[in-house]
Amino acid sequence: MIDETLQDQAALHALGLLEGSEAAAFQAALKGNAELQAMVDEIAETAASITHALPAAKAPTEVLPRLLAQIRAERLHGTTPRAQIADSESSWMPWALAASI
Amino acid sequence: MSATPNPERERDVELLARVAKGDEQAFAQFYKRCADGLYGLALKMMNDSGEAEDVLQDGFSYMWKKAATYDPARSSPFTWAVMIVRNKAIDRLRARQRQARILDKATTEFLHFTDADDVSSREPVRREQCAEVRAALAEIPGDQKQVIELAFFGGLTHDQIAQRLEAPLGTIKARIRRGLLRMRDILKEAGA
Repeated sequence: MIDETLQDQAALHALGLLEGSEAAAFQAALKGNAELQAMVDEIAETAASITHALPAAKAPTEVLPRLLAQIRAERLHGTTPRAQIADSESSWMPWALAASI
Repeated sequence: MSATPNPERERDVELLARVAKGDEQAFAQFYKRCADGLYGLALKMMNDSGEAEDVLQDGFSYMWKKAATYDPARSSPFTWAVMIVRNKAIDRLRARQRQARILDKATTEFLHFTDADDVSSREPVRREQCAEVRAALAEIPGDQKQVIELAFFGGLTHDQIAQRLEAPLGTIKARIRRGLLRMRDILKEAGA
């Protein structure tokens, strides 16, 4: 059973709200704690699901062509660090925060 | 979160696996499946269509580069994508100090969804997801929804939320935890 303080931290971590020493302490608590990791993952899924409740919107049609053009240009110039490169940081940083690197 | 097989999720997992290998077609398909929802998120956070568009583009650009880091054992593809777009939006909010506008809107806007909302324009799966999540949110106390909105959409730290709401930090933490765990349980029961 995960105590409430750790549950609070789990929720904050899932939302990327832990910083500094709090974040480091929680990362340490996560190590080898599958139950805690599962709670973090479930909370993140729940938080992300709130997106489904937002008013419907249509993404601008220009974005995808721009993205594909960007990808092709980067390939042409060999500048894209392709996703096959292992993200060594994702192994220790909160996954939800890794996206902001 | 349902443990039963989810064809939509499995499809997205397969697409991301292909994106990780440099498959542009798979990337385009993944984009088409997720972009509207993610744009809605960006719009909610940025409150500006131009900036939301930039956030969407930045987010998908990141997804293209980092697809190999996606772990299906940890999250659904949509959650992974949501967190990426959210983080891109937060970066912009903080850089441009736009939080004041979000704060002003956050206190009440999230609490109200009109029944006449554009739900009918969505695909059936999305309509069902929308209905389930809104139903779950309706069961969460208002003070918990408020802090969840500030935390998830506002890019605020828990300290900032506590200051904004003039509430003890421990209270804010507990509201976030209780609200999200209660939502989790409701959605699990609904098989979401």
